[in-house]
Amino acid sequence: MADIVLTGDTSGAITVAAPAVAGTNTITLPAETGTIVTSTSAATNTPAFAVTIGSNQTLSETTATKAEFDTIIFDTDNAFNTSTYEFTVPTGAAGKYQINGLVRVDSEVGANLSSAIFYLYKNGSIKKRMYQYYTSNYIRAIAISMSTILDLEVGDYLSLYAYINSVDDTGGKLNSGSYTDFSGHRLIT
Amino acid sequence: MNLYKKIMTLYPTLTKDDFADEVITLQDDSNGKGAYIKTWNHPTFKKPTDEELS
Repeated sequence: MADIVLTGDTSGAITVAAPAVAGTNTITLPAETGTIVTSTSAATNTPAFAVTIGSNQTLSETTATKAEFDTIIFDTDNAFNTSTYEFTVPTGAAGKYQINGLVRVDSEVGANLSSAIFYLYKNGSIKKRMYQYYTSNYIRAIAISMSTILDLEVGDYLSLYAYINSVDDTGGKLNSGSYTDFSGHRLIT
Repeated sequence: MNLYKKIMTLYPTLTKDDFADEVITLQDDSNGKGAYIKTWNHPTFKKPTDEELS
């Protein structure tokens, strides 16, 4: 038997075909109800987004400040708001998400950075934090990144915050462009 | 004068650690409204009023 043809009730047909090569292979179907996914099915890692900060942003001293990610690289589901700087899980897209963040906190003066914190907020509350603290040998700037997997519901929203503690009490800047990243995508599970 | 400096002017004996360790947290949501005191858990000093910070 070369092919098996399954004819639709009203129209169409699906042909199950074996390759014209030597050897015997076995495909075992799962003993459960469901849909077989092919290489052209809609199983993709979306929603997916990536954004950056378009221009340097001022950080006030010892103040957790929402990072102004205002430049879209891509956003498959229009789920990132460049006015509120938040990613919101769209309707029908709950699931587990890989989330990544990168900022560079710059005190703008040598040996002036005492500590810096990079936060991931979920629904307005701290979910993850990266805390860099120097008791001596202060530096000027530090790049901080984070990566995590979150289980998100429809309507959950994410944002990134940064904090600076400078020796001269003048705060600093969040650097822009390639120094920054806020990206994520839903995992196929 | 930023919010941190206003608070330090009111309470000069506060330290940076008070702000880093979440005894006092300041936040700015980048919505044009500026920084505000998100939490105040200092055991001695009371939270400043808006009038004191103005």
